[in-house]
Amino acid sequence: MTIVGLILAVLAFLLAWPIPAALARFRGDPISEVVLWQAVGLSGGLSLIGAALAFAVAPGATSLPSGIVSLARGESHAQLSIMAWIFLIIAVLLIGRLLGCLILTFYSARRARLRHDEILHLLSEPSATYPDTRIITTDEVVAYCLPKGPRKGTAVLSTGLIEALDEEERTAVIAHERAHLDFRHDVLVIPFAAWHQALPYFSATAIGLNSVNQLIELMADDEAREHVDPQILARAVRSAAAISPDHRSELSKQRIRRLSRPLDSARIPVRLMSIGLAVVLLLVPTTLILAPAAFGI
Amino acid sequence: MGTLGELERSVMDAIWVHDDGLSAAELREVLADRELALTTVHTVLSRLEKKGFVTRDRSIRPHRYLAVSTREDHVAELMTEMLSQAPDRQAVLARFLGTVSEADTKALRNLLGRNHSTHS
Repeated sequence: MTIVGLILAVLAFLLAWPIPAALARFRGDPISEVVLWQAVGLSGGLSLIGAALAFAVAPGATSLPSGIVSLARGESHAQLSIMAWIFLIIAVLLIGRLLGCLILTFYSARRARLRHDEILHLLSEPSATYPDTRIITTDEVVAYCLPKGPRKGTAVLSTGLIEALDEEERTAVIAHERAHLDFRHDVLVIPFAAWHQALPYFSATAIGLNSVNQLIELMADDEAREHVDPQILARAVRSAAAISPDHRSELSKQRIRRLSRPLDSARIPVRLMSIGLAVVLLLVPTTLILAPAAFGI
Repeated sequence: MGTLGELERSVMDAIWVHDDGLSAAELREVLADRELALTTVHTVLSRLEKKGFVTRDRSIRPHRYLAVSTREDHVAELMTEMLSQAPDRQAVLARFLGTVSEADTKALRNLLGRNHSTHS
């Protein structure tokens, strides 16, 4: 069991630093990247918890599940040393913290969304032109969306944005926001917001959250292409950048570059490969945790 | 729900421009073109009170209703939420095109800070 613990610890380390750093630099198909990020997040958490548990049940146990069962039964060969106790407590705290933050993030995001929606309804008017869209009176140049239930939710445009963009550009922006809503991109962000809250000192969680937040923008752009001319959406991003210095980010530049080119024709095979890789990433720690005896280690 | 939401918005718009607050009867006068029954006005007001948008001054009769925050403060609250870098807030809104500038962020934060201190 000690060897299993060591392998899981090395895996947790790789998934906590070198792999996320490499993944953050990877520039390809956003859907593939998001899939890999989710797998890295889950696999990293599993490896970390698995490593702590493996060290805790290390003496005498042939596999992690059987070790935990004999531990729970209080069998004599499973008497814990002080070190084992420490690892067990670390494992339990980690599980509690990760799951606790996930649940907390989910509910606090939901509550904040409902509150935002309540205030929004007092401050904004429904758009006469676009369905499920509200117009808020403020000079800021903003467009965002408020997810709510499956395939619902509200796109929000500011009067500042409406003045800054022409009608074609506005339609393109709405198509981008609707893509976020229709494909529930917020759900992809929740686990990373939770992992970052649970382990804020792990740079991987910050990189992950930041990357996924940027990737959903690219995903929404790709999806919006189905409904609007990508050149017009690129123009909208450029117009917004011209008005507010904050829009002149690396992300805006990347979006304009992507929108100016056709979608990569190799994206489907890349996506399939990424899904395969994600499955492997998840299977490695799962197999090590559940069936180490099968490998004789 | 649509009409009720619209009614709430009109009531808030009226209360926001009357700094001294309004009684339910006065509110009905302000919104005379909507020909509301007084009970409807009361219903809308108690909904808004429950949601924390208005407070009721019970020291005088008839009770007067006052806005908890100004309209601008509420706009600032939404914009700040949109800009927030806190992880749990990043999961609230699925992304936006555009944010406000750093200077505006500070101004919004100040506005919110002031708002919080006057109510605490």
